[in-house]
Amino acid sequence: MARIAIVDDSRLMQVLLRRILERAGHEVDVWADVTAMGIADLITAQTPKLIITDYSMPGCNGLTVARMARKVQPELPIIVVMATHDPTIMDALNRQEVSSILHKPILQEELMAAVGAALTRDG
Amino acid sequence: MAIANWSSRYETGIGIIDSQHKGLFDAVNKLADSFKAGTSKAQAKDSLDFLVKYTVEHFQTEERYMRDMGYPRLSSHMAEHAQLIGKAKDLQDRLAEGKPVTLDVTIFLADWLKHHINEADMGYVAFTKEQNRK
Repeated sequence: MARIAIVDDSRLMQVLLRRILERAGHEVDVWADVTAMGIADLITAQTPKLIITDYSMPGCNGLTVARMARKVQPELPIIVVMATHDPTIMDALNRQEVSSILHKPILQEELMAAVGAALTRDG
Repeated sequence: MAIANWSSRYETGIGIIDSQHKGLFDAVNKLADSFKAGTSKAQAKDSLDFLVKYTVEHFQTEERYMRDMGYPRLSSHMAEHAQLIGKAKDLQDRLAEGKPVTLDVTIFLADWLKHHINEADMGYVAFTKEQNRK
């Protein structure tokens, strides 16, 4: 079981993801309304083992989350959830070596499979 | 409580598309209602079947519109549509097989709908406005 941070501006998604992950035994932090610098501070202070971030959020998108995470904790597993299939965005995310890119609507099974794979890879 | 609330920020300004988008919000909320305690599995099946049918019709309208406009990102937009239909049909199969499908699914669908309109659909709206300015 691991400490997982959720970065999502949707209250509904925050509640749902927290419930699913806590049911699986994980400890969950929700980071809402974050800024690029705020992400770096939160990672340093809370030391999550995995970040699950939405891509499209006002102020700070999933790519910024990944870039800032790489600066403070290069090996931190990151799962990005996105609605679009934009190859430019996906290439940029892959260059940050995110663990998985999940396309909405995600299903609980694929989320948990991605979480399991990301945490296993992390050891 | 509705899980998908329509607001002006989802308006494309294209009458038929806005009307169908509102219909999709209603269909997602109706599906969410069908998972409330005391409702039958048949009701959830009917609501999901309606949502899938309505979504397919809407996607056809939208893809026709984008094709007529010569929208350059049609293929990636169609890929998003195909992804949604594939997952929705997977849910239909699960329900038909008696496997558990919960309210959580409708929250994921509502989240997809909001993001898809704001990100993907607004792409062809901007393209249309740009073409009209020329």
